[in-house]
Amino acid sequence: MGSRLTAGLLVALAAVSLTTGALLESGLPPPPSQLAFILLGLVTPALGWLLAVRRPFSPYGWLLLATAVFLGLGSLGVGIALAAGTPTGVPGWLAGLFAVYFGLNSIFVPLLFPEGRLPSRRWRPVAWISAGTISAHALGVVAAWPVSGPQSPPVSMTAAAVGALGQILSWVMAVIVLVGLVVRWRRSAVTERGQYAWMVAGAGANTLSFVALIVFLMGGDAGWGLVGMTGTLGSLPAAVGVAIVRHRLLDIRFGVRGSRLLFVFDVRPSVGDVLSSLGSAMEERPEPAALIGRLAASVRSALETTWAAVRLADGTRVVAGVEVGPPALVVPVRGGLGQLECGPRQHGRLTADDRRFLEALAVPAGLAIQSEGLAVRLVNAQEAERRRIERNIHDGVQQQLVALIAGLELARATGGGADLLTELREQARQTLTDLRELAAGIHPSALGQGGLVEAVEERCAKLPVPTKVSAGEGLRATRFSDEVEGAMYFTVSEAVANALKHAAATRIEVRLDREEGRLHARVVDDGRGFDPATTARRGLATLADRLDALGGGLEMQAAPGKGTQMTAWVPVDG
Amino acid sequence: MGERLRTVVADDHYLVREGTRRLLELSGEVSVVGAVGDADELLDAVRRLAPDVVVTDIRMPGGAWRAGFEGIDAAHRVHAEHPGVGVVVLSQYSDALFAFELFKHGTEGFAYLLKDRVGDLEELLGAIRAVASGGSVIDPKVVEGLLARRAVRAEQEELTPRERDVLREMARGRSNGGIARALHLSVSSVEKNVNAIFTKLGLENSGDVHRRVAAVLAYLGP
Repeated sequence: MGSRLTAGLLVALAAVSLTTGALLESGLPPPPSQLAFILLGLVTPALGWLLAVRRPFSPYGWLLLATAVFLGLGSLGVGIALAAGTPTGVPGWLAGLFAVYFGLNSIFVPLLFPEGRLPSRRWRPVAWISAGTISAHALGVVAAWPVSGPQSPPVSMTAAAVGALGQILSWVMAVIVLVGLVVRWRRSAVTERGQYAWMVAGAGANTLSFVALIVFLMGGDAGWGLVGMTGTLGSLPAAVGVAIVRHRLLDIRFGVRGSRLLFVFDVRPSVGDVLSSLGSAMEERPEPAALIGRLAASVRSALETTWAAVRLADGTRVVAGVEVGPPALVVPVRGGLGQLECGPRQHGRLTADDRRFLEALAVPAGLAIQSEGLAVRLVNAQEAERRRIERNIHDGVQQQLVALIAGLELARATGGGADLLTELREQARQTLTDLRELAAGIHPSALGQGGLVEAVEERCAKLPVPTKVSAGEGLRATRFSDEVEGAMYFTVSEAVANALKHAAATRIEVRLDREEGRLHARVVDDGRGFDPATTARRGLATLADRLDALGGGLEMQAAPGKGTQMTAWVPVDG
Repeated sequence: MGERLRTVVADDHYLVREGTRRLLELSGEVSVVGAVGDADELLDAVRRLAPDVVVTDIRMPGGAWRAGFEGIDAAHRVHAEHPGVGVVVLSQYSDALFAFELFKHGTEGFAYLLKDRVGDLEELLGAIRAVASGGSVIDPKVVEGLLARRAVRAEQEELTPRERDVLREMARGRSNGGIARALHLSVSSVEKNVNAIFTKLGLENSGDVHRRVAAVLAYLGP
């Protein structure tokens, strides 16, 4: 059964039984006092229904609904008892449920305010004892008056005593809860004071109403009864209602626009809403700082906090709003990339729902930050590579050409000579060779012409140590996309260069394979190895990013003195 | 012709260094008293050999110098320690940024030439002569680039092609007579063009050729 349907049935049961009970008691037409009773009594089921439908995961709405159902059934029981004079069977039972209503209303409604959870674990004994006293009260009443209304003499004095004791103890528990509420109110931050103040007033009025009711039952005049009943029925629902509306406690508020009274539900957008707006913001490809700025702004507007900040692992921190005081809530971003922080809410306080919301948001936020970081690193690596090529051209080939020009000018001015011209020809040839190598470093022609295996063979053939390249069956004839071939080639190239430069390897083996939709490259050397924990391999880190962007990865297995094994892979079709 | 100009050549590329040295020797106007491979050696050579002119590469990796600016920083240091020594910086960058870096404290005694001028001995010798006498020279190609950039801004009256030619020659540190010879014009025609340029650019005219280079540079500056 859906929560909406359940809530609907419960609220209907509560409302119908309450109204029926009240009308049975007074007869038709009801006097104004009875109408007032019905209207006041309907506040609790209305609030409960509203909350249960809008916030089905918050127990508080269901608590209010349960309270309302017991109120309704209890009223029905009392109504039947009074109308029938001497009722029998079930109606007597029903009247006993009024005791449960009193207990829930005066203990659990203030105790579990506002989220439907205990303020802390220390309140558990209070909850259990209260459950006991309420049960004693209800069972005692049912056992003492099983077949008749409470105004007739009880069949069992013991049961009546148990019921009375339960009632008194329940009242004591209600006072304890009220004291706890006062403490919470006193200790709460300024922003939360208001909502607790209303609850304290509500619970206080409720407790006093209880006293008035007792006075009335002990033989006081009808005034006591009226005050007691009105206070009991109305004070707590009123407090809950005000807290919800004025302090947006459960993200429900109403406002007046023009002449219309509007209920606004879901003040808080869902994680999905925030993500879709963030997603369209990211479509515009903002700078990374702008991206995390938008993330912070989204968190802030979603939770309606005075400020929100996103802090990245590298210390970057962007704040939306004006930061005042320490953060009220901090949630780490997925993957340890940073954290989301936010200040107190503009109205009301941050709830467990808010924390869950932030935690849910932290997952996709982490992914966004991660992919953004990857993109930035790739762009930086590309930029560094361009600078390297530019330097190589300026310091290498360009200088050689300048020397060649100087030599030619010299030859022109002196009339040349066979030796000088030979020298200049050699210089020109050397320039051409260097230019060819430079071009191969940018993009080896073997890679374009012959494919990955051939290009890797070509690269390894130039190495000064024995190197063996083996390829899986059919791989030699297979061509992959330029990105895949390029990334794999330069990864292998960097790995063999490291093997020579850093590890002083005397043998290198390269193995290229394709299995289970993945293209693998493994480079194994017999060199010095290294400690992966302490050694940063910048060149390979760049290539790892490149493989990562293709959906692949890179693994290094190395230990000092044991050689190095690098495995790189990218997904390929088939 | 009087005494040969004593020159130190600095370039980290051996072939360029030797080619430049041999070319300058060949001219008969210059005597290369030292050839060095980095900025530290250059300063040392200037202290020891007291040359008239230094011809240095802009980029000479090594030492505690700003990477990529070794030649320019060494030029400033030479100028500070030995104000009379002229410095020709040979650069592979036609980007004016580097020229402005060289001229940022003043133009006197500095020349910024593109490296391929080693194939144009007259141009190189002209710059060496100019800096030896406290003048300054900016490579015509650099001036051309600056003019093109200036034109993009489109806030000034445009120079005629003839005026651009004259401006380029002015930046080369040439006198009106020199410009007239280079462009095959009469001296009076050159004077007219120079006046028109100064009026259009809103610069104060100056008969002093050295100051003229600084004025042009100031106008073309970023």
